[in-house]
Amino acid sequence: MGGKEYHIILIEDNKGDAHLLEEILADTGLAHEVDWFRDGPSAMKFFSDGGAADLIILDLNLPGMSGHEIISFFTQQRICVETPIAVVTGSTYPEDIARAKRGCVDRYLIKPMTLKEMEDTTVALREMLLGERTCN
Amino acid sequence: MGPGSPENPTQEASTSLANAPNMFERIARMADEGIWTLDADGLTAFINDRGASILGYRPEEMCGRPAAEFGFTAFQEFHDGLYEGQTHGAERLELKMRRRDGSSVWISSSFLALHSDDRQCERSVAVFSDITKQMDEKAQGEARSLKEELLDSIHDGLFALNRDWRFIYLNEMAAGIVGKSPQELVGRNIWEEYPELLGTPIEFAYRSAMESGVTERFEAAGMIEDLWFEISVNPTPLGITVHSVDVTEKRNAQMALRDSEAKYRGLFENLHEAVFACRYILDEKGAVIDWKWAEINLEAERMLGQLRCEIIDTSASQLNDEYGIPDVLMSSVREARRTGRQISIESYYDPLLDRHYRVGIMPMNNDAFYMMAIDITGLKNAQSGAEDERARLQAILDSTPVAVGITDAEGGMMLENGVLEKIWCGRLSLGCVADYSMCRAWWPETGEPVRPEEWPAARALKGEASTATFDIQKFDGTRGAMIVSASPIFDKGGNVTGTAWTNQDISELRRAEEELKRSNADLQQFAYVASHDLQEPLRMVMAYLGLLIKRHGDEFSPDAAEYVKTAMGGAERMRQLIDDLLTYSRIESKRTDRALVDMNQVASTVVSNLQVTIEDTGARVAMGPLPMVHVDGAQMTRVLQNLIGNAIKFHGPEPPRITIAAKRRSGEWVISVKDNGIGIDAGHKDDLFKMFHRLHTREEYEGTGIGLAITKKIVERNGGRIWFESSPGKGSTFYFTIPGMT
Repeated sequence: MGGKEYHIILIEDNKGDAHLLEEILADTGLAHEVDWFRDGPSAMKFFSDGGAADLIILDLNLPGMSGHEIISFFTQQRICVETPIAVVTGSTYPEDIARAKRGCVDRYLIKPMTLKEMEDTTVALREMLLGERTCN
Repeated sequence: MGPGSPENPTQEASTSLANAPNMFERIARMADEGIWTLDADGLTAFINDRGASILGYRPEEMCGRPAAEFGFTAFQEFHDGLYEGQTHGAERLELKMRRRDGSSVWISSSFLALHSDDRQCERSVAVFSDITKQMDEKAQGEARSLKEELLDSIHDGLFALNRDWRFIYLNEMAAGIVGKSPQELVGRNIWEEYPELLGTPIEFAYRSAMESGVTERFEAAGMIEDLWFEISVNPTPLGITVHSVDVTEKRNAQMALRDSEAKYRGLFENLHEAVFACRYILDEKGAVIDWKWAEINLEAERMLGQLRCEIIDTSASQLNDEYGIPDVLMSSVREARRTGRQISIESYYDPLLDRHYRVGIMPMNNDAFYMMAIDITGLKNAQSGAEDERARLQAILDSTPVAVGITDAEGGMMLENGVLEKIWCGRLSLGCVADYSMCRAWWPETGEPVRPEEWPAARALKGEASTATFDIQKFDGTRGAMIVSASPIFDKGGNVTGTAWTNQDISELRRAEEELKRSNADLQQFAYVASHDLQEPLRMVMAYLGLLIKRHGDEFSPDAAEYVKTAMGGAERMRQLIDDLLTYSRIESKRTDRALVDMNQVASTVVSNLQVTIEDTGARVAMGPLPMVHVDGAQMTRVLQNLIGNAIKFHGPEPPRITIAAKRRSGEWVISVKDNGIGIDAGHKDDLFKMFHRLHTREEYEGTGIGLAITKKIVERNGGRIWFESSPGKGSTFYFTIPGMT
């Protein structure tokens, strides 16, 4: 473990959700820093300017550019090769789930409501930070 | 009626003519006279027994041989004359012929011509009798009687009387008639010389001519036996002249004709046809204006309801009285006389008798014709009954919006109720299967065009009945849909002779259906999106309540802890409600994945899902053998889970006892879930499966009221039905069906 500080990119337009995810990340017990982008273009600019991260947490339902388009960008730029991507979304639409899984997404997580669900999400994100990558 | 008349309401004989040979042969075989016909080639076509025996042959020895071969050259010449354009009138002559054994025979014969309706095949007929005996007697008489020798030389007799009734002139013939010389009688008073004439029609005629100055004509027997004279009495300034012509021979011929007619009468009387022999009545230009009834048969008497003696010698116009001779009859008689051909009127309505007849008119010669009539009123009435029936059917067909019709064996349209053009918005001319390509249609499933041979009518021609729904484009360019059906029509031999078909325009129905589908889908989508998006604010409430409890729960006063817990409970129910709504709306949003599913497996999964509840309530679940069915497995799991879950949830004082069973019924499985719970009042039968419908308070039983709505929707989506039987306090049984036998 040691003193590694994980760099996490959070792309989420909803402040409430963003704060909730920060709470969950805090529960992982891992030292981390979160860069929060409220839309796709600003996140994409970060990566185009040579930015790097240990984990990308991405919502699908975003203003202007959808999460799916951002996933396509990550796939084209081969960013997903280096960086695990977790989609954390409120969408349970089967077509959203199928489409995300066709891209280079590591985890598709439904935004938690109950404490139990929050704990499950905490575990999943911790696993991803620790590099226990799973294929879908 | 002239040759250039524009219309002929009658029809040249065709069927009726076919009857003519029958009648002819019937008459001919029974006749006392010899009857001999020559065909177009002049060869013997027919001779009756009588005719052959007069010549000492049997009929079969004569058939196919020319008349001349039997020495009957006159007949042959008559026949040949027909082809040289000579008239067809009957001729009569006496001649001597040689019999087969070499002896001679005198015959008296008349000839006539028979025409077939195409005029190509003419037949000559000789009607002849053996007069050898009469001729022999006549020859003996000639040798014996000087007086008759004298009479033979008589032609016309002429004498004149003055006003004192004295002869002032007699020619040799006139005097000879009474066996005197002119000199002996001149100056003598006729009444004194021949008092036997007093009181006779002769005296009456002479006096009438003398007194009124009017010419009188009459026939009278001569003063010498067996002689008949046609006498004309002409007034002169001096008195009268009397001109007498010997008509004995002519009269004898008439008598012979009458005699012959009497023989034929026996034949006529047996005919089923009413037969009228008629003589034309002509105007001064020679046009037929009426006719006289010369002879009628028994059937004709029956037809007219009058006796022969009342009819004969009256005219057609008299018989028809104020109705007049019907035009169709008059023009047919004229036509027959003009052409010399038989005319038949297939259906003639007689206004006088109020009946229908088939009438045939057969010209005999320029003076006479036969008319035959058969009563077809019964037939006509049967036809009109059939027509009434047809009219009723037609009325039904006309009132239906469905196009109905039949095709012939080539698929060509024969009959149709007039709807087809309406629903296709244009004229269709379908003569055979290939023409079906003018009807533009597509298979709705594939969008492929319908080929001519794929139309139900084309398939019906191959013996196969079928129904199909096509997307179509009408002739006015509008799109629509049509249900098209056709069935083969078989003859007795099982061959397809045509098809019966229907076209039903379902464009409106289709549009309404699509509208409904669209509106349903919109609602579905709304419910789905709404419930989905409700999750987001709910998540804020629940998640942050959760964080609040987690991070700060220790700091709450007991009241605050209670408030937060209640808020959390409300949020959780809300979440359940939204989840159920999502599930319900997703039943159709999700494309059903049907597969072969073992319901035993499904039930086991459900029991294991519900294990905690089962243990908590001490429930027991018994399962009969369940079938393999073709369903969406996940959905079916939800159905059983809802039903078993309810059975446990709504238990009574006893621990729940639940039985799951399956039963085969025609074409489907009936699955039942039986419990010993609190039961359901029958009053809830109709609305139990409705969304949000709850029978109990939340304090009594948890739930959103959507579970059974979801269950029903899934069952119906899989092609089944759901219902329940229950008695309150004793338990309920829910049934649902799954179509198909596996």
